[in-house]
Amino acid sequence: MEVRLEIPSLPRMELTAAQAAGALARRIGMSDDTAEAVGLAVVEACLNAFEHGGGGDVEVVIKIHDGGEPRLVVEVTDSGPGFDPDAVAPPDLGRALHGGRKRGWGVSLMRRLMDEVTIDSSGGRTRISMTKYLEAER
Amino acid sequence: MNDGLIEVKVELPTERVGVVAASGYVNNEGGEAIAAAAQGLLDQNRNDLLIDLAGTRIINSIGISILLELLEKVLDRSGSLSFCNLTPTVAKTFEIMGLSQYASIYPDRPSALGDLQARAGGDA
Repeated sequence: MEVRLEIPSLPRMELTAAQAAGALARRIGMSDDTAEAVGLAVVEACLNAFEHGGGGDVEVVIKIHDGGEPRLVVEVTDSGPGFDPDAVAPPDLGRALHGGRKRGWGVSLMRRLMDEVTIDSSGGRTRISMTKYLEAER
Repeated sequence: MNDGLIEVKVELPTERVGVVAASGYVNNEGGEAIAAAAQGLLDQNRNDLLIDLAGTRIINSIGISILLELLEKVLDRSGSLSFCNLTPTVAKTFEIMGLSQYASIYPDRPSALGDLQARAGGDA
């Protein structure tokens, strides 16, 4: 089963994708807390696409696999030039509170809230793929 | 998921402490609404602030950045910023950031106010 959305890069549209992901997460038995955490990861992936994707529509595909290892997979794709996540220094709260940069928590949140995250920037698009396994919360 | 527009209320439970109760999605608009309410309290020399997030289920990374600006401002004034009534997702967000090194986190408002009052030496 999958849900496919084309969302414009507009304020609060990230919530539409998050709500769809949360609904499918619950459908395969994830708890409300896990579904909400998945929703936040989707929010961050969409915000990243809005910010770096050149302002065009963002494609969000949410799939559930309920056989084998039940899991939810979310792919967020934009048409921007992308970025190298390994080249971006992880956020540092101590530095942020002493005049440093306060943005940049999105990738850290995605990686900690989901079980697997890959970011692929190539061919004029960037795709963030995130997986959450049902078993991981048990 | 509570995705409603942010609602912010300010309360003054003691002489020193100001409470900002926030309900709704903390994005850029939500974060700025909280920061504006907090600034009003700082302008009254209430430097111990408690943000009650009972009605907030999601804080995104832009909202986080605005809360960090507020925290920096409070620490520069030798004040304190505390949070209470976090959902598991908001608590996880703060844990990932390591926020508890710089801000106190309480399960609910009575425990927060009790501790803040005790720390102020009972002057509140």
